[in-house]
Amino acid sequence: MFDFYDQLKQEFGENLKKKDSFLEMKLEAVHFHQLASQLKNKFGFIFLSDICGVDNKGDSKKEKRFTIIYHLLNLEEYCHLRISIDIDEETKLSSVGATWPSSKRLELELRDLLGILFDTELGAGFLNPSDYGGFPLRKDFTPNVNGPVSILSTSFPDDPSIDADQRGVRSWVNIGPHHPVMKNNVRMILELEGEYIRRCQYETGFHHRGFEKQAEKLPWPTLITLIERLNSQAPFMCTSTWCHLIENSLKLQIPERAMAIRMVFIELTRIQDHLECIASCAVAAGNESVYFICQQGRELVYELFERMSGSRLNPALNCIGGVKYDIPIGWITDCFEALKKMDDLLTHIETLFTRSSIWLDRNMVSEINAGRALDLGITGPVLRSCGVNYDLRKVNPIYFYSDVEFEIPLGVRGENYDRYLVRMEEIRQSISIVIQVLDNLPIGEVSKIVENQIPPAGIHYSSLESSNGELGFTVVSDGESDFPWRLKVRSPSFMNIIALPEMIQNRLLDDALMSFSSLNINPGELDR
Amino acid sequence: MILKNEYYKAKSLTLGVMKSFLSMSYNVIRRLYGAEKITTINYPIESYLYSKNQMGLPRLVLDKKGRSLCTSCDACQKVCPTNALDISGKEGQEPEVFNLDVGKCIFCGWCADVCADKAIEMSDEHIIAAHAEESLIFSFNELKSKGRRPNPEIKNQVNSEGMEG
Amino acid sequence: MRSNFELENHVTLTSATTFMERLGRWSQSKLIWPMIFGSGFSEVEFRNLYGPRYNVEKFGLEGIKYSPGQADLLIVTGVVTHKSFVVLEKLYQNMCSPKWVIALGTEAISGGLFQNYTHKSDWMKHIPVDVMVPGDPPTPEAILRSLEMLIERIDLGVRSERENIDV
Repeated sequence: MFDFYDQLKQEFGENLKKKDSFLEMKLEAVHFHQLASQLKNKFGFIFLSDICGVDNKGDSKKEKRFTIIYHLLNLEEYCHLRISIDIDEETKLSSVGATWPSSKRLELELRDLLGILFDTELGAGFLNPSDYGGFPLRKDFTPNVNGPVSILSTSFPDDPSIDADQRGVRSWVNIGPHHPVMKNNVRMILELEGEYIRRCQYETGFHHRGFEKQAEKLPWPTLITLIERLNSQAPFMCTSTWCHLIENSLKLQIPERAMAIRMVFIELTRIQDHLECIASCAVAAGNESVYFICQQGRELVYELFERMSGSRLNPALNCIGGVKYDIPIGWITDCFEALKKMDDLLTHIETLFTRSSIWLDRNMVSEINAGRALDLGITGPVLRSCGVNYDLRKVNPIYFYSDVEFEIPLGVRGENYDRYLVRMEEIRQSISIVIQVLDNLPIGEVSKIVENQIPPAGIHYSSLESSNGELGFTVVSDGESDFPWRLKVRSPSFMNIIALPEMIQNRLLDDALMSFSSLNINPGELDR
Repeated sequence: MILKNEYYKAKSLTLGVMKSFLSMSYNVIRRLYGAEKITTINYPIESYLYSKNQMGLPRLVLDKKGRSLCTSCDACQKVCPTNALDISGKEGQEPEVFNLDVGKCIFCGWCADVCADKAIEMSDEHIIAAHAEESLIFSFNELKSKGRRPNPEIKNQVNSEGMEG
Repeated sequence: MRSNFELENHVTLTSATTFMERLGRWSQSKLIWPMIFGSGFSEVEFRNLYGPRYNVEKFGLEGIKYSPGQADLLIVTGVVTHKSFVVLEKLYQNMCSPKWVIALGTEAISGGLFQNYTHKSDWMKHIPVDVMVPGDPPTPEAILRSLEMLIERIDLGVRSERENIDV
């Protein structure tokens, strides 16, 4: 790390600053685009994880209208570089899609939600600003919706690479947003030749609830009730990331017992989410009995949540400063029994699915190349099934993750079957983490009283290894007011869905549905 | 950790089908002869007994004379994230209008956390379903109660050990 | 929900009931086919009713259908946005009458926390709703209670009163 930091210091000099564990740099727009390929090839920043756009209207300290923040990662040294650029309303930004292909979906958001101009054609996004009467994330936006909202049409422009005879054979199919495998929210439009898929387009945005705009209207203490509703399968991970962000910015150390309880619930949520993904893959293949076996496992976890916090799906336990309630008497014994039953259920699922020739035939399809996955910004079990060893719990451990023993399973080719094997093994590793933590639970209080909950002025970022990938929050605060200035969510499902058209190219129609459900896309996280 | 190579090789089809069939029938016969206790809750005769941290409908607590402890300070109205509360009255006295729109309430519990007089609390009433012709706005007199109580319509309450409570 | 609410006051049948009408209502109240629209906490909780813990099949709901031509109960969950209303309207028009609608969860009734530019607040004027269940998510017992109330409505023949609906 020291040689690397010295190299960067030599190149950029005074401009580079170190703040907490991040490196920060301020650049001009033109200068950044000239440096982009040098940053990627010479210094190894191959991963672009997020682009956040901020509207500065009403802030007297800033001169220009927009600030754009790029988050770049060097995976070998784990170095996180934050580059911020200030531009005017009329400046045209050039796209970095040639260097980092993961930026394509993120730049569509900048164009549709903030109104930033680009000098190349980017394609269709999920929102048409003229339907809503303006650009929603700007500070001077007033909503004005007239009539129905526009949706993509089910057709493709002519493919120039084939001749007219072949064009006559092709047909289009719409797998609509209302579908059990597509989680009622994603629309896939396919161009088929017989049963083989030649081109694919997808449309999202049906569940766009205005999460980031709503966060600017709620005061800091109550914001945690909004954060719970981001992801309907794993709400505890979202609130844990948020509390970790605020506690780091206030330089607050929470009690050790609270850290251990948070770890236990994070791993229980991970077990439940992976079981849901395996259940939906099984339903897409037509096997309903494994769906009910996974449902038994999830009910065991729901009962543990309910005993602790009173609510089945959403353990509203987190608060800034620790955890709200302490573990009741008898909960730990019941937890151990439930995990033993979970082990039996996993053995049952393995007898049915692992090494079975029917499951292998249906699932050894849709591979992703490891280098291409890193270019596209994919994280989580999807990346680990390609063979890349990157897990935030090992690279940047928080709480007690550096003290417990666990391993990271890796796949080989990035097919559906690898993703299934990686998820099954991760459930087993999570069970062992929970048992290790509960065996050595620290004594003490569970929360600290925090009076001032407003983070200091500036940009703050924190991330956690969620069950789908890296979940992160960027928060811009001005230090005094009761409301946040800007909140941006780095959601793993939003980035993972980029892999879909490349995965199902030249495959059968049935494989497309199974591949989609193995990515574990959550609609609340995808559209925010 | 790299996964074992043998996971990627298929076992023979007849062996796999036989093993799955035996595993499924073993599990079914175990449960038929009572090896595991039945966990299904038979509504409406039984209901699950939720823990004491459950967030149900907000209720106004009464003192011994039957009056509510609310002093119209408006703290709960300001903190509600969905603007479900509508309160008006003179400071220091009982409110004249206290309306709760249950169609907007998300049962988060912030109104109970913020109240300085401990006049509003989250009861354990969770079975709230209404026909469309009914109004979902609860007025002052309907929100008063004597504290947490089990729902009187359910005869037997079942908790997680399967014992009646 | 309230003890002084009388459902008999809202019966809207115009002519004397024939035998075939009564037979149709009896058979519909014994076997209902639901279809879920939307996603969120309430959708997960409704699918959990088919699990090992609760027994929803005894109210007559055998399995979840996803095709509108085969379903007669539409369960709306999650925030109804301007974009997803385009899909919801088509689904409702393609169902065969007589059909019923339940609004499950606070997000479906009023938008919950998300009452902003994306929320279509007057969707209930276009689609008549029969039973509303607040909660985020509502507990499984509350959802089963709402199915009991729906069966009472089907038995008596109560239809929700709205204008400009093509039923």
